[in-house]
Amino acid sequence: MTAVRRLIIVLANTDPRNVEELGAPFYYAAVAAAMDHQVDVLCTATAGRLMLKGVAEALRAKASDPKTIYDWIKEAHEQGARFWACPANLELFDKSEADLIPECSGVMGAAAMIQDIMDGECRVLTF
Amino acid sequence: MVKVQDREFPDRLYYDIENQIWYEPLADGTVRAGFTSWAASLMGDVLVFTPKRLNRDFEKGRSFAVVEGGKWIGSARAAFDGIVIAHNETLMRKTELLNEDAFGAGWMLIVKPARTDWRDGLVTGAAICPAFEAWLTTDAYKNRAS
Repeated sequence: MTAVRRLIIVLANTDPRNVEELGAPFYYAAVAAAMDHQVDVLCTATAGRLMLKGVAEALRAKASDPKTIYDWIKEAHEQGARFWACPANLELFDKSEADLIPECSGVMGAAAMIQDIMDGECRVLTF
Repeated sequence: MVKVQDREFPDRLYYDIENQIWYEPLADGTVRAGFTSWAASLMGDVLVFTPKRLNRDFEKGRSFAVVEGGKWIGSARAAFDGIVIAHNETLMRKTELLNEDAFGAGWMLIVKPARTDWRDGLVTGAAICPAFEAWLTTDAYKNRAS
């Protein structure tokens, strides 16, 4: 049996207003990428704001920590994780792809993600 | 023992300079592997050490262990293809050994190389010092140390 090497991490319940929730998804993404899994992180719902320029940069999981949530995103990205925004979510915030942070590869439609999951081509972690 | 900028490196070991991993050939044909003390000092405190599972194969350039520091993540990348034979169970419980004794009790894995030419591209003996000094001038080192 060939091992599934792709992991999709979906941030749908993570609220940027509750900063304590924000470190874990990106930490898990960085670890999985460091283990050489192919990692795709989809930020949608309120968490979709984290893919917009300037948002994650202004957030820290712990007030005294110099590392911002954007630093966490960059670390996971450097390890090889890819980040995606949801097109419908951008619409919700009246934003476009031009507003996304450079670490975000673009938009991933719901159908593409669901197809990959239902075809058994990946595993899923949700936050 | 070879000295590079006040840090000592056992000259009997084989080094993958870029990934800062040492390898020690064992009598039964397997190879012990660990991070160098240099890599350990750049990491700071290590909280979790997770090796690849026993009997799993790995490829050159791919991860065969991951260390977590709470605020950062580091991957140990292999210098050759092989199979994981054993873990350092003590290191899994006492991760501070990586900083305290990187070339001894802080070893990570014992692996079985897929081929006999696993030493190709690694440096040992008199070649260690010039190879390390050349590496210290690279962007790869500077990015890691910053």
